[in-house]
Amino acid sequence: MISRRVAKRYINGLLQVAQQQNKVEEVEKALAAIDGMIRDRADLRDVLFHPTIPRQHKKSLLHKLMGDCPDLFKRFVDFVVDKKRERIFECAYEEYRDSADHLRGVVRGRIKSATALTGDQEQLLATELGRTLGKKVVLDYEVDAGMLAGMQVFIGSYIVDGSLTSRLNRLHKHLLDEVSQIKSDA
Amino acid sequence: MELRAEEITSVISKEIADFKDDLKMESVGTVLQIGDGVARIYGLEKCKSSELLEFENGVNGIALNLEEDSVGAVLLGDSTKVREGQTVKSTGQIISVPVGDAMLGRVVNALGEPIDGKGPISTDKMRPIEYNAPNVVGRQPVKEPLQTGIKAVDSMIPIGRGQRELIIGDRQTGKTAVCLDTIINQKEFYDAGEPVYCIYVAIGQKQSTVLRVMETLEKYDAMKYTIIVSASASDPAPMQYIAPFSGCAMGEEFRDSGRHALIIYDDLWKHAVAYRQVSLLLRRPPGREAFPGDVFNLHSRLLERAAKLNDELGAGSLTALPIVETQAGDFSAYIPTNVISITDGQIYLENDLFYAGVRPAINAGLSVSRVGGNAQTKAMKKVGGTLRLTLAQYRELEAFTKFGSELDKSTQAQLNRGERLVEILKQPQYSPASVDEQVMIIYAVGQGLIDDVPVDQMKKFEKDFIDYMKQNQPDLVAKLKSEKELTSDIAEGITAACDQFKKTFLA
Repeated sequence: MISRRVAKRYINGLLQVAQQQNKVEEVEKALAAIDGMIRDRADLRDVLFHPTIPRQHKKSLLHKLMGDCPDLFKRFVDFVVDKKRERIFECAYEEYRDSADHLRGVVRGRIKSATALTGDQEQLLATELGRTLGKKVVLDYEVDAGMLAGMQVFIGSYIVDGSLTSRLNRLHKHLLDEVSQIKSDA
Repeated sequence: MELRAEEITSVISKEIADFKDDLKMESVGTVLQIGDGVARIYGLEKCKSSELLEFENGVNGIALNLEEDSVGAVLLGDSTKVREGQTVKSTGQIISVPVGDAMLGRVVNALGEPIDGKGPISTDKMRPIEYNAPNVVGRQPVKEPLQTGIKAVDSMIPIGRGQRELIIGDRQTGKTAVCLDTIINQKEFYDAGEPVYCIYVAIGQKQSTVLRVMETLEKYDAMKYTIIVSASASDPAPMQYIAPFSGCAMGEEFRDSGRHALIIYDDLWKHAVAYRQVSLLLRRPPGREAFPGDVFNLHSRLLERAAKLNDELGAGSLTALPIVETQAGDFSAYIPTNVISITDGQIYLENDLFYAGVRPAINAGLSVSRVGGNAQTKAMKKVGGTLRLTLAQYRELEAFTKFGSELDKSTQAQLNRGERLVEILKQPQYSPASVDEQVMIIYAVGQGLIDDVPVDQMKKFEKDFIDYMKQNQPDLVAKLKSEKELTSDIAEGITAACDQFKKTFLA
């Protein structure tokens, strides 16, 4: 929790500088690479988050891993390690992507449907959602046969629930309400 | 009612055919952390303060802390049903409770759900528990009396409809008893067709105590115009926190429909403690006595909703009698001083008086009513006006008599009068007196008409005198009742009747 709040501060700073230097995309790519490595490699996590390993070691390790990336980003990594805030790398990419998306006027969403959508359907959905939200919508797709039919749209902290299971649940609740109403009238 | 299978089928199929389910965009979040009846939620971007949240499994919550990246909420139900990672929906509404006449005679929890086993409550009226108090223009000064039926209160610390009068004292000093007597006394007005509806909010009390209150009210036939809202000690702290607001919403329904209501919060100290628990769990910074900084606002926004509305708004009223329990007589603690400063006066009950046999154990010196005087009937104002002074002088002189020194005649007379006055102001529980009865007996004592009746016979004298007046002087009593004023001929009538009765009583 705390690390997410801290990450937000650092990332906003990074994004501002990246914007000035016109390197938003490059930094995003570099962050994604680091994020992937930290996720996949437990040994990297052990070293990076270890409190007694000297900062110099951590820095040189990260520099070797990063390879080709903007100087700006290298300085950012050094700075974070110096401040002993390595933990923020756990959610740095997500935060950076969200903030950058906000700048670009893009929203990310997720579609969960009972059956796989065709390419045309996906296209239509993205344009329609983009029209209602007034932003460009980038969607991930997921198939969940458990919802029987229909689909659910998740965008940010909003949800449009058009799955058959939820509708049946709502009908169930509605009928129960009616029953209790009849009981109280009787 | 007999139902046939086909009927049920047709009803259900009709319901299903009519069922409309519109797709709508809902704001959702995920539970990050749950425990101690408090949840931390990620998401819920446009969530508002005090908004009702819906957890999975039908548990409700209230959003109280809106932070940069999370929402802190309290749960109004079983927190064991909520798990980390579950989704939470915001509803865009403030929590509402059912209100209206159907609630009368019922015992409900803080959400307005019945807990007395008498079946569901059929009312479709709902009111949000948080509601703005009427503004200055919408009010008028307190002008009608709220009769408590307690002689000491109605004569010296009068309460008006729309007033907020604090009842303060240690445990076991009869705070609840004063309130119950007041509720029972409203029966007279209910029977006369001008009811004052009563709401008794029990916060953090034993369920056995709440049951006893209900049984008492039932015994005196007072439940038919009373609602009991109970958030007992075993209920989660958030329920105890919202209980007075729920009760207040029920009272406002009567107030706003031009009727009169009385609400009793028993007690606000426990309410503050429940709020303190919620606040500390939400990690709000503690202040004095570890209470959060907004505990004053909490109580003032609650008590400010008690009001006398102006004639355009129907002239309804909501009178509040908050109770605050002090710890070992310390009424300069945080919560007591707060509530004293919010209310329009206080009735101070004392342990020492209680054990000395003065019951109700009201300390007349420390008790005040800042607005109720305007609401007193003229007759009561006349006889009660000097009462407080006489009593204070008696208390002062009483200290001297302890030296056993010689007393002059006038001092002796004052002491005699005082003793009889104290005796008359004693009143057993559950025996409220009507205004005219109170006026007659207080007039008799105040004028020194019965200075020669022995102190130990005062109780009997009072009872017999009232009976005598009702039987032998019904015209005089009726006149006093209708005119509500102690005109000189009524006063003379009482004096004459009293002298006559005294002769037979003392003989």
